[in-house]
Amino acid sequence: MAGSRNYDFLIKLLLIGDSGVGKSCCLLRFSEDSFTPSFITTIGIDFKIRTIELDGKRVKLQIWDTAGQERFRTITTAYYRGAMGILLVYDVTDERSFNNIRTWFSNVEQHATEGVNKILIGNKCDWEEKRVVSTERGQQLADELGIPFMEVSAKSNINVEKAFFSLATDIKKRIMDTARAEEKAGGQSSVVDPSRDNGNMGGKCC
Amino acid sequence: MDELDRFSSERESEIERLCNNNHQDFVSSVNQLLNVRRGTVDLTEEILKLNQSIQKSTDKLVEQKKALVDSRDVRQNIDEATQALRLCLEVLGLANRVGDLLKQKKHYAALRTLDELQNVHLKEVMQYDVADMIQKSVPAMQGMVKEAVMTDLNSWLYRIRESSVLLGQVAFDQTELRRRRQKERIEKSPYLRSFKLNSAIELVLDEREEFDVLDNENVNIDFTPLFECLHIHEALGERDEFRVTYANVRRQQKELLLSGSLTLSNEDISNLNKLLEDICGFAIIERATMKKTISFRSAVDVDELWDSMCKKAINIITPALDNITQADALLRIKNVLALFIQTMDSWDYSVEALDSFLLVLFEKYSQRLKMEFSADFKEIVTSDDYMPMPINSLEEYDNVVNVSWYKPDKERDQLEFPIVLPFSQMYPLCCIDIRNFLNKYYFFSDEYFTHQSAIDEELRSSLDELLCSQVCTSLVERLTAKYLGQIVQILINLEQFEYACHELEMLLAEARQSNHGGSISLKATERFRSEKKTAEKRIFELVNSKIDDLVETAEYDWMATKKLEEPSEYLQQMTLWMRNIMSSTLLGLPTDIKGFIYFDALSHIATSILALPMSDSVKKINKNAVAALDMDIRYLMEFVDSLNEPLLPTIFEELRQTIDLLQSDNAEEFYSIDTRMRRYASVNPINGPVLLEKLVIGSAPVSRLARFRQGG
Repeated sequence: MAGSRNYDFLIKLLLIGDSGVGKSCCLLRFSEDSFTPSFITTIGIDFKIRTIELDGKRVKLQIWDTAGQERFRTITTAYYRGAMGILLVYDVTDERSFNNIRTWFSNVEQHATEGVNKILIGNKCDWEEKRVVSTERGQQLADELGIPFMEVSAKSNINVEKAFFSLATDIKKRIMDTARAEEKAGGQSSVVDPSRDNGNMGGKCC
Repeated sequence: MDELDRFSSERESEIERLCNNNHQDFVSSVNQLLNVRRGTVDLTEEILKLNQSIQKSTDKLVEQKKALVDSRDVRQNIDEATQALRLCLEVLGLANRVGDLLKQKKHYAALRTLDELQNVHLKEVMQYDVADMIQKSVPAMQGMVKEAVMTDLNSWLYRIRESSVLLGQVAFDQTELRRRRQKERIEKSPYLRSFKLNSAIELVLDEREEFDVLDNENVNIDFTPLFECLHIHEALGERDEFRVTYANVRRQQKELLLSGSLTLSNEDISNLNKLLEDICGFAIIERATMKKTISFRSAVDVDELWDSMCKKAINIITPALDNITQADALLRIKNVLALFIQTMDSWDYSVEALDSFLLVLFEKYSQRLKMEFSADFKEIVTSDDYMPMPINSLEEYDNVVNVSWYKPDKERDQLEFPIVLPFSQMYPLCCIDIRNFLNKYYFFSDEYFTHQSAIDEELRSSLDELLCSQVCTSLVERLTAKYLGQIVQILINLEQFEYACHELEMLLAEARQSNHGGSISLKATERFRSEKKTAEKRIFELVNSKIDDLVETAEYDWMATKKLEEPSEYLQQMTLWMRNIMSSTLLGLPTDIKGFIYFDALSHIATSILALPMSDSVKKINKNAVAALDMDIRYLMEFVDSLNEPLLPTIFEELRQTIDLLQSDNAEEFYSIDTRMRRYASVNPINGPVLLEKLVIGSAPVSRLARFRQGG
């Protein structure tokens, strides 16, 4: 029966940030290893799946890509609650998108599940001549918000893989810790394969 | 003897007696005689003297007389010589006058003088060498006259060659002016629209405008040298020779005119202007010469010359066109040619060859346009954001709607901005381009083009080709994108283009300038319609693959130990996602297509859910799992009901009845045809028994399960 499933963990991630910062591009790079230079706005919501391997476990990442535009806000907010990890993306060549990260962060605090993993992503780091947000300022903000930070480039394929892996690793670790804690506390579902159980719990914590 | 002596003595005695008797007398006589003798001597002397003196005086006389006679002769000679000289002088004078007249360019007078000289004056002095000389020199002098008029003619020919460009220019300007006047007339009385330039009506209406292309403030072509030359040759009886010479000279001039090659560029076509003006000037002079003279230039000659000029000009222009890569430049070339053609037409020249050349030019123009617009369309298609177009103000709205073929669902004054139009930005951009494309085709027929139907036909096929191969194909190529929003937008755009095609079909039929009736149909209309299906299929594919992704996260516990309290997580996610794409990504789709997509998606969900317990890896199912499925299906059906789509609920019939069967206490009912038809008609005859079997295994007591496990 376990064989019907092609993964050990299901992790749901969410990409948020201003319109045009390159959320969809990061996702396209991560899920299909491709890049499109044309500007395509996400309408409403979209998701992509990629299964990765972490410590010998198959982790299925279901990554939800939201529209940055204000008019889709009611749709996208609904996905905060189900997310186990959130990538807050800004564009290093766009000061506004960086300044808006605080607003996005407070949205996360307001709508997402407590304890959700977050990471601050500065996209388009290949575009040095246009850069207006320094790595130091990015790092400073991440420190202030108490979340990890990484600069990536979907176009040049810099750090995109690393960012998703690092977030997924953190989440997997958190889930396993929680599961272990629960097991110690109750241990009622001992019959079922623990790894699958964890997956289930992952699903339910959304 | 004695007798003699006696006689002598007698005689002597007689003498003596006589003597003695007459002695006195004698003496006195002797004295007298002596006196007489003396007198005689004196007289003789006198006479001698006189004779001598007379002799002397007659000598002189004789001499004088002789002199007189001599001088009389001389005088006559002189008189004769004088007369001859006078005649000769007159002849010479005339001969000189010929020279003078030549110098004064009075060629005909010179010739007349020469004629007079030859026929009148010279005859009088034929006996003199000088006359002979002059007689001999007459042909030479005639030659000189001829030469002089020919020199004049040549310099005239040179001058008109120089001024033929200007003449052409003036003629072109004149044609332009006539166009303008005709336009003004058409504005005043629209029925004149059907009368083109050079039509009888136009010519009559324009009659009042008097303008001599050959004689005005800019150009003045004086034919006098030619007439004179012709006159002289006529006088010389060499008219035919001159005709031939002149024809040859003009032919040579024509060769010279068209000897060079032509260089044209996109920016500069002034060389063509110059060439055509030159040809125009040349031909106008030919025609004018023909009209102003009687049987000097033959119509055949002139037309032959014209035909060969046209041919040559086309041969020169054709290779120069290779340099022209812009449709606009080709259009400018066409306009110059059209002006040329209309001008020449008004001078009664055949313009057939040029008309055909315009057709060649048009084909080139069409090709260029297609290339330019293909590139434009490609650019528009690739740079589009594939998002419904947001419009923030009425002004913006008007701008977009006025250029697009779009039937708004709301009245203009009921709009509240901002609004979002269904199509993405590429649509109005393409519409603008299509309109420009059409206009550019019609621009070609502006003012003058005789192959109207060629434009209509070429425009239809070019537009069709562009719409099919550029717009439609480019859009369809983009369907490979994995982003649903983009595919949806492409479908909406395809639908808009299909509508645009209908409008274009009508527009083309209306704008058609030739009189072939009937409706016009574009292949593109059908292409867009059928590609909508392709897009639709692609949407099904994408939506279904997302559904698959979500169903893959289903976590049914087929041997659950307890009943679940709420629908499966993955289904909640599924409905949320569907609701979201329905209200955002799919929102702009036409209602019928939306219906198809919902139907297809929900069918796929139903099939996928049913496939879960059917999976080979699921060996057994218990009642709790069936209850979970039941709850999920109820949840799904509630969702479907909330969509208010009448057909949709039937989708879950099979799933619903299958779960009902699994929940039924009496599975035997399925094997009875009667109840099966009534309650489980939609249950798959193979799936039903398989699931029932799995349920039986799952519901068996643990001991049996254990045995089964060992056995399995």
